[in-house]
Amino acid sequence: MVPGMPTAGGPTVKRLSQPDADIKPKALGLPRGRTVISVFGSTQDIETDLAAKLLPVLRSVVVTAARNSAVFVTEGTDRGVVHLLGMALQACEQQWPVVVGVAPSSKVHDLTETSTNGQVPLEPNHSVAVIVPGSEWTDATPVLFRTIDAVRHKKPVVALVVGGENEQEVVDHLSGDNPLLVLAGTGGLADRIATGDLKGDLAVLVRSGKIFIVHVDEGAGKAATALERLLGKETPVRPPRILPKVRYRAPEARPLVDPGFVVAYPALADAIHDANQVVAPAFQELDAEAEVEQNRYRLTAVLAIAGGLTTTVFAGLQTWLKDTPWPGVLVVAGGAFAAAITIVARKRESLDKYLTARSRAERLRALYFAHLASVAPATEEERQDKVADLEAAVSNRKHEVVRT
Amino acid sequence: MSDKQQRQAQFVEAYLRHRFQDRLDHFERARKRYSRARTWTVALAAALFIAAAAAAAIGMADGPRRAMWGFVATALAALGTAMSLYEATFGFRRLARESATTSVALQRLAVDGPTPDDVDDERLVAFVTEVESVLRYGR
Repeated sequence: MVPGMPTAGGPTVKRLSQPDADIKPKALGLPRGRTVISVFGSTQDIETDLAAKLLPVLRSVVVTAARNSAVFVTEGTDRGVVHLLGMALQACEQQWPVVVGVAPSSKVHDLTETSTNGQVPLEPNHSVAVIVPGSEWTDATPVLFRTIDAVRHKKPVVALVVGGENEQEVVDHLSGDNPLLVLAGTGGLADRIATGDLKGDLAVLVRSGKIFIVHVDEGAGKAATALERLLGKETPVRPPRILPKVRYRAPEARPLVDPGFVVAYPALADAIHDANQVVAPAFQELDAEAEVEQNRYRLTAVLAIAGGLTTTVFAGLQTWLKDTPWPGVLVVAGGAFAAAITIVARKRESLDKYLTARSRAERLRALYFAHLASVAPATEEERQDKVADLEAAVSNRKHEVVRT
Repeated sequence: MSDKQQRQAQFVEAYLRHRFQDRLDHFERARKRYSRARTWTVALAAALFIAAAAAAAIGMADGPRRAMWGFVATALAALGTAMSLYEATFGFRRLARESATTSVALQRLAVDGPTPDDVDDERLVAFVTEVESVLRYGR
């Protein structure tokens, strides 16, 4: 059994005596001083196509949260996004994150009760359900935020918006200058935030706040990276090294325009999305290839120099220690090594490969911005035509002849 | 503001931040990194050659251990040569100069460049063309 996994009976139910009761984490069986991820999302059933795209993304979010010992706080019912989150939780293999649901008493029932008057069951994969006396869904909202504050103590809180309708929850979250991770392409509030289609306080808070937007089509990896960045776990991007590495791995690809900036450029949102889908993967592939070949070229050059140095030094040593044979052996070995490395370097042509990949990558980078500069398509058909043209241009640049 | 103007203003903002400034930062970092690398490699090579000359001079004075000092001088001179070769192979001087040239060219373009609040078609096209030319050819 995975550590932290709830029992078959569902979440441990903790009932508050009154709505404004103090939230004491220890009494409710909750951890304290942990990063919190609050989930604001759609409560309606999610379409199969969207759910199929969303589930891997939520799995990556859950695994990332578990790795960082973060606690989820949700509305706790087995419907909409929280239902999908429950499914995603089952992918946890190492550590099950603590998941807390906060719901009003008259709207939910636990797994031992039957539904009356349209009550919704609690999501069974939650660790703890805090039940608040109340007859409306909104009765639980203040307790949800007090629970978040009690659990996080001084640690950060990140909100994950997936679809959703309730603007007030997001306003309350952003008012505390807390970051927001939005899964665009999930409809509702998430898409409105991504495209900047907002009014009033929310518009102001979104424009001035720490908003990261990942489109659901961009995949699970992007969502996990964005979440790690928000949790402060992402390693900073280091400048390229001058000394080559023996075991080189190209750094993790960075988007040319971070999807989070889509909020700042709503008129370019579609163009950025298309360019991220079509141009960015090809650019990142060539960029990584250029980095690898550059490192390889430098490594072979350093090894050849080291081989030559070894030969000279041991030849000098042999002159000094005339009667000792071993420096001579090392002269032979050093010379043979330097010769072999020089031949390998010549055959691999790493410098040519590096310059070619770098040139093609930079041409693709220029193409990315040329696409953003183009006139907005009037219809969806026109947009598809532009995407097809973009794909052709990417293919041309990926294979264009470069004189090095 | 019309939709077209709004899109154009947002493009200028995105281009200046993610293309222009990103590349300018890249070339500035490269200029500093390669200049520093060149300074260090040249200084180290010079120090090694001086140390090799010193070892050879000591060897002349120290008759009984002349062979040992000869070896030390050879080893230090070989290290100095390796360092010079490293600097020349990677072309730190050339890379620093090219990065500086591109950085200065971009900074010159920025002086008369458009802003999100002040942009027209002709000026934007001219600016983007010039920036892309500088980024491609380095000047």
